[in-house]
Amino acid sequence: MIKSILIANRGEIAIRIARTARRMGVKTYAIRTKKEPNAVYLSSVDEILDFPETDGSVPEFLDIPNLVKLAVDNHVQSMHPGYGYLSENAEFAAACRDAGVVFIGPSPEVIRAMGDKIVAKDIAHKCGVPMLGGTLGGIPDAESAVAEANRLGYPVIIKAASGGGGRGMRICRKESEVKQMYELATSEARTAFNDPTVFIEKYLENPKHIEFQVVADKYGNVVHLGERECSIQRKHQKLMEEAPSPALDDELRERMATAAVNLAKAANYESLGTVEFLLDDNRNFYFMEMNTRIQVEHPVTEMITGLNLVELQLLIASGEKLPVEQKDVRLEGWAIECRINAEDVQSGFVPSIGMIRNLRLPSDNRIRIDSGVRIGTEITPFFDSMIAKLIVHGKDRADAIELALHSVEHFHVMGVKTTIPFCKAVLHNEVFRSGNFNTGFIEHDLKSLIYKEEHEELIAALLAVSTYNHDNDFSGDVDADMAEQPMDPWVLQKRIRHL
Amino acid sequence: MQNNIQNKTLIAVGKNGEEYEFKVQNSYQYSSKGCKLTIEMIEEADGFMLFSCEGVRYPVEIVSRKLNNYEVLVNGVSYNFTVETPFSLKRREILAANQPVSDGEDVCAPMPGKIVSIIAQEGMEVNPGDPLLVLEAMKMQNTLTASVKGVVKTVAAKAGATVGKDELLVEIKKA
Repeated sequence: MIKSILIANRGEIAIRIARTARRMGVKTYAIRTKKEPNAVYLSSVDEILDFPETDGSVPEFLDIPNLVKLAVDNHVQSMHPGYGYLSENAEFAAACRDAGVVFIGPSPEVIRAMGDKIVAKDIAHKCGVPMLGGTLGGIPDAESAVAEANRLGYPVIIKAASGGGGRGMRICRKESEVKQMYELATSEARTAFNDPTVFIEKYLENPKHIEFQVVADKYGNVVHLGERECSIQRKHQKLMEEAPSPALDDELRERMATAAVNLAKAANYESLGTVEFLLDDNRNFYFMEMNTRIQVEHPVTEMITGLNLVELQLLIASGEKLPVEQKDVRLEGWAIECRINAEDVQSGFVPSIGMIRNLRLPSDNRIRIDSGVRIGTEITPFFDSMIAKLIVHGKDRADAIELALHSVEHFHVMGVKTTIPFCKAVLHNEVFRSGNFNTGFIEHDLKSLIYKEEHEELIAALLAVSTYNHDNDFSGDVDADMAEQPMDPWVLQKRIRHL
Repeated sequence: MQNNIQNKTLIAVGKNGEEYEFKVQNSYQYSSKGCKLTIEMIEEADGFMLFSCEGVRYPVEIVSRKLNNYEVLVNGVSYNFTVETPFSLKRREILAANQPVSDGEDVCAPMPGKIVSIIAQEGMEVNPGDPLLVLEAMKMQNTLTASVKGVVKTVAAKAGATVGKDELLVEIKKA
């Protein structure tokens, strides 16, 4: 069993990894950076390592040589990349392996294969996983792009082979757009990913986004842990997730799960991974990509399976056999995750920068809160805007929705604006409640991005008026008193004339 | 002057011109459209503020107050109001009627961040909703758009540069 672990990440995921590792008796190390020397995650580990002085051109958690050196110099046996940052970087996994540090995740070869969309599609194709048409290889020039697009029928999407997270994608709705979009996509892919290769797929308008959690050990055992419904997205950013998905029945779940497991087997996958699918209105599913890391939304799967995914990652990395077989995996109840971000929903989800002056969290034995902030934490432009993930576990979907609503109503943050009013709007929405929604939900079905209670605006107006009245308390304050005296209409007329 | 008997009118004017008129009896008794509203501000042990109106309590926060402009949060939802007396409201209306219409738009950074790319060029014609530049902050790329029809007068932003909040990025002259 692994004895020590360096967490090459920050925030709630560093805390979440440390919690499980410590419980398993693994010594935990976190990295302190100059940008947040008093961060909460630092108090969740056994040892803190200071990130060395650098010129700052590479952010700390992207600095492969220094991260590996920290592990080697301090004799830390393994490295957990968390999500984001270097979690899907094959070079990082390779650098760890070369330095004798166990990388908690799949091998660099598998990460590289899955990171290249064209290679991943090829593997999926070979094991019969359905895909959205399109050539298997990259598109060499604009003419081929037009020919391929015409063959597929419009709309089509041009994607960067090395892209991800919604970046490096262009949609073409008619033939005349293809050439220009092809040029744009290749140049964008070159600058963003240092790889100009692009490919074309049929574009689905507003599909559902369903992903399957798979877990594989070094002995060829692959088990799936059910699906997650992630269709509540804005600009490809997931905002609310649930497990299981209201769109799947047992038969479809079985077919998709089999495809996911076959893909993991064909890729010689080992560790925890997620196979992402798109599902259309006719319940056809298509392979999109495979993520080779732990995901932000992993707690919903943990809630319904009762399994600890970080524990599984550590066991697999230690060379142990999977402690569960497929027949042991039961999906019980319904889990929903609300991402509480410091964002101003009313101004188009812009990050709300400032200090968390106060925090009040809901509590219940069916609620889990994963958070990396406390009172006094600054939300800065350096890092993402997540305040917390609120995860609830109900006995069925309706129960989970009620519990989620009750919980967000008792989640209070002072100092920054949050996505809580947005979460309420989604949870109250009839289309969401019906379960019949897709990735077009926010654009088409959500009439207001925020939930307002009846008379709330009147209450706000009264609050403003009474605060004003309080601020301009007339007892003894002569200036304020004067300001309230009506201005002589003649003086007013004269002033207006001189404007 | 008596502190507890005021008997005046205050009007909260919202962002889109919506008006809420209140008669002020004293610091805790108000009325709106003949409806009596008794209020109370409660500070809880952990510092959270509750605003009670006719016994119903709302979690609130006063975000900012500049002169008579207030931004408040009720249930986490932001509201902006300008508080006016009947007289100052009238003055405001007269002033607004006499003010020349603004001749363009200054697009400023809504938050600190890094300019990823600039789409706007000097002399370019823009329509409301047209993208001007892309600002990256907290891992997210935000496209800033024009809100008026006009011509780009100056582009102060430089690609790759880090900008502060409210820094001027693009100036648009109305067509």
